[in-house]
Amino acid sequence: MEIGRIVKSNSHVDYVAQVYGPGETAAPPQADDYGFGQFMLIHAEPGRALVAAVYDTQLLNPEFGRLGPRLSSPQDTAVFAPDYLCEQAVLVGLVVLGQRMDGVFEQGIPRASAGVNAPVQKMLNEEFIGFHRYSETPALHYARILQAQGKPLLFELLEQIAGRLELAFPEKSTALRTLRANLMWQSRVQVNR
Amino acid sequence: MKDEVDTGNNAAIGIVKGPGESSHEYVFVTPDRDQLVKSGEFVTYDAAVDGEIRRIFGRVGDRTPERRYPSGFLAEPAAGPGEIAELLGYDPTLGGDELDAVNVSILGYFDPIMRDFVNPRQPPRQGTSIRIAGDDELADVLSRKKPGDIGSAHVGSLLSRARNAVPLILNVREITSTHLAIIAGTGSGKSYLAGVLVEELMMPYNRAAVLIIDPHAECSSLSQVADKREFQGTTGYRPGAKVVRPENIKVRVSTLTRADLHYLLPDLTERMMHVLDSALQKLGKSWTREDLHTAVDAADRSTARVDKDDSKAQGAQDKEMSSTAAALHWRIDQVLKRSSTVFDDYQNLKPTDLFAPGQCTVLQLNEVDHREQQVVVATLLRRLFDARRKTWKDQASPDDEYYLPYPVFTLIEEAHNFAPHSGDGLASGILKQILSEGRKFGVGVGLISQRPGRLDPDVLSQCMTQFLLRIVNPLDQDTIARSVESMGRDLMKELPSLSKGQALLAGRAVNTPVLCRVRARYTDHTAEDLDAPALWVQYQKEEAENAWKSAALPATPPGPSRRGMPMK
Repeated sequence: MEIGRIVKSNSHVDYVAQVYGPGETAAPPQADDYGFGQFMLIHAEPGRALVAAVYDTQLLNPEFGRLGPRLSSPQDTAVFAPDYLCEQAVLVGLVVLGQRMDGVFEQGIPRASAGVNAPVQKMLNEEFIGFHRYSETPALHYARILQAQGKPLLFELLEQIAGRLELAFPEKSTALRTLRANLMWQSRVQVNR
Repeated sequence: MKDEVDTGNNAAIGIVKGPGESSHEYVFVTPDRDQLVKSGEFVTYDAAVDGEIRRIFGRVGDRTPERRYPSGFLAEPAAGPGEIAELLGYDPTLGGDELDAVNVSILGYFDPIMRDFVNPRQPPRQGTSIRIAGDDELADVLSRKKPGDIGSAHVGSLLSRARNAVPLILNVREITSTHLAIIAGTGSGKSYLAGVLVEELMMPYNRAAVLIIDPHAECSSLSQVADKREFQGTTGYRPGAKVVRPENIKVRVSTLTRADLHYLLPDLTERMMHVLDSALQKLGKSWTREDLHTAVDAADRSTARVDKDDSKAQGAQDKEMSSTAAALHWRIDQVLKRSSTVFDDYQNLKPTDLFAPGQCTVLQLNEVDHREQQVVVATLLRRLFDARRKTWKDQASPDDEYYLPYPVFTLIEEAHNFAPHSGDGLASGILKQILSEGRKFGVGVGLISQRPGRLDPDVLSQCMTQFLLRIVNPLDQDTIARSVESMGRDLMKELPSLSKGQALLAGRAVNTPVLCRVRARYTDHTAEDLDAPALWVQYQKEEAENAWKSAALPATPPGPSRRGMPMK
């Protein structure tokens, strides 16, 4: 399911996508489809997609704070020119954690970036598990990318991912639980020392 | 000039990081995957010293962690830290997940001519490879003798290596001339180690003249050296063994000195001491207890005549004089005659009865009164030293009582009783004299003590070879640190952690302090404690059985023996 397109980037791994609104697609995505922690594929070019996760959401509303016709001065209302396009939008922040090349997932920072207007597609659960499977064991090799950003939301994201992987890889649940506990300690206890 | 040295078969186990805290230390970093770098282990590196490549030996000391997994990774015992690190993309099989910085004390390169280590006086360069020293090269440089050499004593092997991989051979000449101390806490194996040492002294390649002063009668099993095949030489040598039981210990009263008598006779007044000293001055070299009584009477009368000039106190003095003599007579009889079998008018243990090359004599003092033990040991050491000095100076002939024509070695158990920290032990004086002058005349002493804190520090510091077993008491450790000059602080830390049968050897008899695994004894070890619970159970069973028999057969004999059976 395609949920939107890339509109800008803040860094090599930090992208912003605008979510399709009503009328832009036949079935506009629901809030759950681009919720916090949702994994996405950013189709950079044929055969290659960046794997990213939603770590932030922003609502864009240029009309907020504008005055209506009654409160506006006569000069402002001399010519009635309503906006012909709705400029409200939902933007999501995506952090790139790996890529899929010709159907093969790999974790880590991809060499090439995606362009503006690159379509963003919601990843299925099977794809999420496939992305995190490395030699038949769960892998979070991109954890350092998230930790290096130093943003509290990214610690939370990592904990969520570890929690999902515990359910997906029950044979490694002990190690994953310990890792999650360690992350929680760092983000919730250690920071308050 | 030698261009290179054999690097041995051992692979490099670490790389030098830089100098240590002092100029004779360096630090190397190691992953130590095979856990070879043990405390006290010997490591080497090769370096140019005065234009020649030398192999520099060092001893491993403290280690500090350089890199470890975060503690949070250790929260779940069922999942190791490596497994969690693997989730994050780290490959534990690459190694290097644990890195330690190891401190090494530089011993130096071994000079085969001096048979000792020479410190290069500079640390290795950063990046120098460090290797574990090879077994063979260690065996060559740590011990001053080869196994089976004349004057060698194989007491065990290097603790950090496989059993017997690096045998530790002591130099018996150094032990017997510059003395020895075996210091250990209770139950850590000091008597066992002493037994091993005596066994080595009795070997065909030593054939020593050894006396063991044994206050607890725990060394009698050493008499087995006479029968064991291990001690027999190819040329018909077979060591002798002799146990002198308490009833056979005799001290001729005329060998007692003024200090001995002052120590033995209780509560002497000033006047009694004066009379006693006067009596002793009048006696010759040989006298009996009866002679002493006569001399006391004569000295008492002589003192009285001098005092008679003082007519004012004459009556009172007459009374006191008679009471002084009577009190002295009573004390002399009480101590030298009635309560003791040790003192005799004529019999004496001759040095040649106690010592002979290839003979081990055990002098059992277990039933001898504590004060008499002091006198026995003091007189024995005094006569021993005199005998060797006179024989050495050709002042004694073969038929002389003081003739002792060979060096001797005396091992003293419970040495803190004979040379106490207070310095007032009766034997302290002669012991110090032997420790300082004994090497000139071939009188060697070995001291065994479980309380170095109660041992005279002067005495301990003159024992130039030390065998230290497990010592936990901080006071005892402090005493050792002050008295044993060859002991570094890093080795002192090892003392509380030593197990039974492990010892730290230091001093003249070895090239450098080493941790030793004491070898197994050939003779039995009899210093084990009684198994009290087993004896209680045994007693109670016998008691119950006899009670049952008494009930069934009213005329049965009395109950069980009250004597406990020593358990093996």
